[in-house]
Amino acid sequence: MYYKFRFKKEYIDDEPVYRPKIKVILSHAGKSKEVVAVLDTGSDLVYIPKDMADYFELDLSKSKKVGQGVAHEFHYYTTKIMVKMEDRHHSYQQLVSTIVPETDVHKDVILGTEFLQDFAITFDYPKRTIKLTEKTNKTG
Amino acid sequence: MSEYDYYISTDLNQYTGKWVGILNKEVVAVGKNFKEVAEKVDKNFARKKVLITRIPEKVLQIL
Repeated sequence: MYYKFRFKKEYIDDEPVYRPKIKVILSHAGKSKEVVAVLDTGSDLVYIPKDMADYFELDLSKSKKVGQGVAHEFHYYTTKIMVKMEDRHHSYQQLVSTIVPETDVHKDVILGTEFLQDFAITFDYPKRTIKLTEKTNKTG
Repeated sequence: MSEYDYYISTDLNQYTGKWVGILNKEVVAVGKNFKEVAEKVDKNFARKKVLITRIPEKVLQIL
């Protein structure tokens, strides 16, 4: 089974750029929200902004760790959140390890390897479509 | 048209730098962060499936 999405046209100055943004449902502690997330095959985990973790009342790790961003190190907490995708015919959900920065490094929800590893993913830049095909046989 | 399809196909640049909630081809909530918009949605559209997203600044993004 697969899920199809489209690239979102955004801008750098006045030049258009197309970014892989999909809809997922985040939920925890009886709260659930549909949000847009960017797919990033170069990120190890899932990333959410601090205020989002506060809204969902996530249990953050007691100790902070140090991560490496593109330009700077940053301090983050770890937690888990339920991420769900659905369409008219089927749904997929996974409790994923998530990092929450002490102070926001990025402002978007980022879905990295921790989430993406359950899928074969096709980024079709000419057609500006994204296809996530759920793997039926998962191996370690 | 779903909220996601509306988001993908619509220029929302007037909300650059803001978080927005989208429902029925309309922006129904605006705020400075996710939490602010989510709480507005809970207050005004509790039973609706509102899509929440940030409209990014027009700058280079490297994740």
